[in-house]
Amino acid sequence: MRAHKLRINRLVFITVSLGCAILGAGFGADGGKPDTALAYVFTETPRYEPKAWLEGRDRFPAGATLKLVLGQTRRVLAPGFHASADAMVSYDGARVLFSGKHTAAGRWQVWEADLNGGSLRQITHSESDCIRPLYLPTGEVVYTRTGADGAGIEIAGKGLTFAPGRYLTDDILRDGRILFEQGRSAGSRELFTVYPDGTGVEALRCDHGPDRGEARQMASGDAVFRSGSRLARFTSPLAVQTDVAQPEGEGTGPVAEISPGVWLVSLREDAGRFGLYRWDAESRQKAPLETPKDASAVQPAIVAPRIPPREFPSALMPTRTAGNLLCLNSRVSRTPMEGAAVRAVRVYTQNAEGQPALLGQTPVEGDGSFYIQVPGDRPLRMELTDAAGQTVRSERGWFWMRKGEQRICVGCHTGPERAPENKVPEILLKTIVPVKMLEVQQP
Amino acid sequence: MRSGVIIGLAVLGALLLSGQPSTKPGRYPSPIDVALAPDGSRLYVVCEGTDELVAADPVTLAVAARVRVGHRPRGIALSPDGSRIYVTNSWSDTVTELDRASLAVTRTLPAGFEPIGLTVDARGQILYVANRLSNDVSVIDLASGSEIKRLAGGRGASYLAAGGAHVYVTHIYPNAGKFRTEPESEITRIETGQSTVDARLRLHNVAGVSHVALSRDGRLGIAAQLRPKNLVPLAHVAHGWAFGDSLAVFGEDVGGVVQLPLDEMERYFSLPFGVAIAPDKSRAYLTASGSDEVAIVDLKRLVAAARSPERDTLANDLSASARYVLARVPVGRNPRGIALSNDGARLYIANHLDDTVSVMDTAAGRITGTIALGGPGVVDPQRRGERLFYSSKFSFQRQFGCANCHLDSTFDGLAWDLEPDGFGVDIVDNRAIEDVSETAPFKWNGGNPDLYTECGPRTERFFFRSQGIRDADLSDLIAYIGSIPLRPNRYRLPSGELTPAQERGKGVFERVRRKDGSPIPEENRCSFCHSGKYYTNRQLADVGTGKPTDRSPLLDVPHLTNVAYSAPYLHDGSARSLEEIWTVFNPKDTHGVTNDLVKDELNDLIEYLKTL
Repeated sequence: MRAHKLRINRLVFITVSLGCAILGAGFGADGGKPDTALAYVFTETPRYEPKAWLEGRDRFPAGATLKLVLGQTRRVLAPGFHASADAMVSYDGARVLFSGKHTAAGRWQVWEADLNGGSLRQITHSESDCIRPLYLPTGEVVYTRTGADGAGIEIAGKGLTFAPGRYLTDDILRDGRILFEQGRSAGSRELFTVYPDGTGVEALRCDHGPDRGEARQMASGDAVFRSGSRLARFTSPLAVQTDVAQPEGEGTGPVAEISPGVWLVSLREDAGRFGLYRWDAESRQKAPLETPKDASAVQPAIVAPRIPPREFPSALMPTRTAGNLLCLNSRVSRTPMEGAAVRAVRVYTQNAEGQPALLGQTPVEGDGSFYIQVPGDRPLRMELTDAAGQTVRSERGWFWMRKGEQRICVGCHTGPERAPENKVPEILLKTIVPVKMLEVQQP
Repeated sequence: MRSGVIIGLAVLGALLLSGQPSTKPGRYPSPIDVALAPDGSRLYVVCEGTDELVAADPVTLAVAARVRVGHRPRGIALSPDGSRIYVTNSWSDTVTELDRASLAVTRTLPAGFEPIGLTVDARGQILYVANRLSNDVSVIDLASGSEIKRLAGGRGASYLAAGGAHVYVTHIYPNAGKFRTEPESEITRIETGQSTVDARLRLHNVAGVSHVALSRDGRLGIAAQLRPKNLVPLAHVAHGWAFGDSLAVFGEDVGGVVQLPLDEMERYFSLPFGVAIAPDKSRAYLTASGSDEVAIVDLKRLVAAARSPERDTLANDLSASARYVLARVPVGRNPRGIALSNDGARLYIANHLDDTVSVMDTAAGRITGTIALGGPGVVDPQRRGERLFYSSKFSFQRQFGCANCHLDSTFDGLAWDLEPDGFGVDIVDNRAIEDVSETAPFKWNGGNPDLYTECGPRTERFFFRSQGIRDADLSDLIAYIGSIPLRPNRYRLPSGELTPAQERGKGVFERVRRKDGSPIPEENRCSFCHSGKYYTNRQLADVGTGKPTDRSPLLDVPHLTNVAYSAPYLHDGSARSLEEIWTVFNPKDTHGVTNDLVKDELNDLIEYLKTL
């Protein structure tokens, strides 16, 4: 009976706190004053290596602890874990997903906790590390399964990524896409998106600047991320990265938005520990919230209800085993290319040895269009060639298509800013049957 | 002085008398267009839903008077001296003339089929009226009140703007074109001296052109438009794959016509409709009727973009609008026509599905007031469904809504390549949706047994590509679609009788024997498949019009009600006219027996079909 009463009291407290958090989001122009009603979760860790996952290492090699802050009170979110991190609060503000492990040698798994202190639920039971979980609007959980051999994105054990490399979930965009970062050369990262059924993988922007990761979408729609040692953003009107107003020091993502222009942000100076600050871009004031003496405070997440993203209804047809790819004009690109010389396209997959293996080649039409069918759930790479068979442009990375995916590209690396010209591609006037490139060609 | 006072009191009395709300229960005002008196003392609001012109105080935002006009009013114009108000009555095919001081109706002027927009020439002598269903412009002499000529406009002629010595006319349906070619539209330019068309400004790859506005010096024009992507398979929606919401900028300042986008990469300016240009030519304002906002455009930057070397490539560049769009301001639901105060300080926005007018402080870029136009006070399921129909919020990144293809709840005059059938497969003409609830099945292959199937999960998966309209919302949407009435048929005589040509055409439609006397098999008679109240037996039929790219030759028999307005024809839109159905696409008499008919007999048949 007493326990029940305590639980009710706690529920009331949480409810009031959540309400205050919402109200708190409405004011806060005074960046110098901490929000006494602010509710958030953050990761406290003696050592934070946000890019260690690129090398298959632990981002929290000395452990980590998720802490829940409700106004003036704070507590460990999930006691009993050797390490807990990667908090994502549910859209109704009542639950939190996180990754945690009970021992230093154990595997990270995805867990879910009620913010009112209810029991924990283990979401993943993998022999690999499962980290950075995110709620989809359907209630499904997407996360990254990582190990020495790679890091891929999954939902309930089913992979969404089918090309070599390392991927890490970052956020769910309001339009329903999964925002993730992919490891590139020399330890750098780039931001990509994919639909929750694994289709439509593409770069969020194609300006391909410096290292980009730890991204989160703001209420404005902007994606704010760490780029080098600074924070930067992608905004809907622009095809290139732009700066954001930010305090001095090295910032690391992700940031958490209290209200438009008011964030929780992790900062440090002189390569020390990251502290958690409240930053008001308009008044340009920062106020310390969490500055533990021997630890960093990172990965903030606001505890408050918010509008869930839109669900994405998959159009994949289970009866199909291959993907169809239509390119409207392979001769156009946002980067310099001798497009007029393009005469054919070659498509490669990766063989068992990890080497490129030719799937096929087909001419492109006079308008640069081609239509091919490729194996689903396999790494793919395209190469454009001239009349002599010499390479005009070759993809450096790999992409994939799902089984049954129907995909169309405007051109060859035209960027998300390029909408299609409304014109029937010549290849579709010639045939509605794609050139099949389903098997590796023997040399 | 005394007479002035008396007149003033009389006007006041008239306003008070006419100020009694005449809104009938259950009818929503649905404001569609607005205009300000030249002296700025009154705001006039055209209420399509209640057949009213509402006068409001633009400062106190109080409704001062309501005047009954014709059926489904759509457009408004004032005489240059401000003494007269003209309102188009789209379903009455008339223009109501009112005395502005008394708001008394002084005349009812004739117009063409479904008059929408109108404008008065600078001398105040000629009224130009765009007629949507007769695709032309009525030229009305205001002294006599008679129509002195008709000028051919684009298909679905709808909106006009006067500037300098010209009037510019837009149209919402693309002009007839060859199968699977880019849609072509135009801005029809009329020189007002002789009232003749002196230019047709080409809008390549454009359909759904709405309002047009001219700068006061007449050197710069802007039209709101859609760039549909109907020829590219709709495999996804991202990257402007379904529509390019854009504007056409033209005039001496630009040196031609340039199309520029209003969309961004992840945020679309869905279904642009209203346009206004600031008196000082510093800014332009456009409404997005699907995404419920107003764009503020810097005209210096816009003209710079339109004159830049890359101007011809910007139409498909989703990062271009950052050059000239200063802000987007959220307004009410389904914003349509807009009007600026004389000093450009305030913008009035007709929120069609909120029954309000928003007032924007243009310097601050924010809404400062709202004029409530009344209405039932309760939002019923049909109205909720109408809001859903016109909203773009259900499609991926809010790019488009039902109303993008069904413009003003009609159609778009386009044939689309929809991906679920494969790339380049099953090209389908977009059909009209008036009074369709009893015409199931739906879709050209008859695959959807009811509107729930047609508009629900299928639309969500293959059109919107995002969480669509579900559950109770879907019921509301169906309620609205089921309520869309059949617009008046202009070809039927008031008496209900048929003209001799129509009578002869009816004979052809119902004939059971060829002209040589041989019998026509029952299933090959027009009236066999096209039977019943809606002229469809609601079955599938192979009439020989299938293409090699079609998965099946069996097609849903379409209803024929108001068929005259919904070109192109056949399942894939390959017939540009009714006549082509038989003269081009029926060589073996598989789509009814027509090859024994001569031209005059086909004309008779067409005359009859127009009455259905």
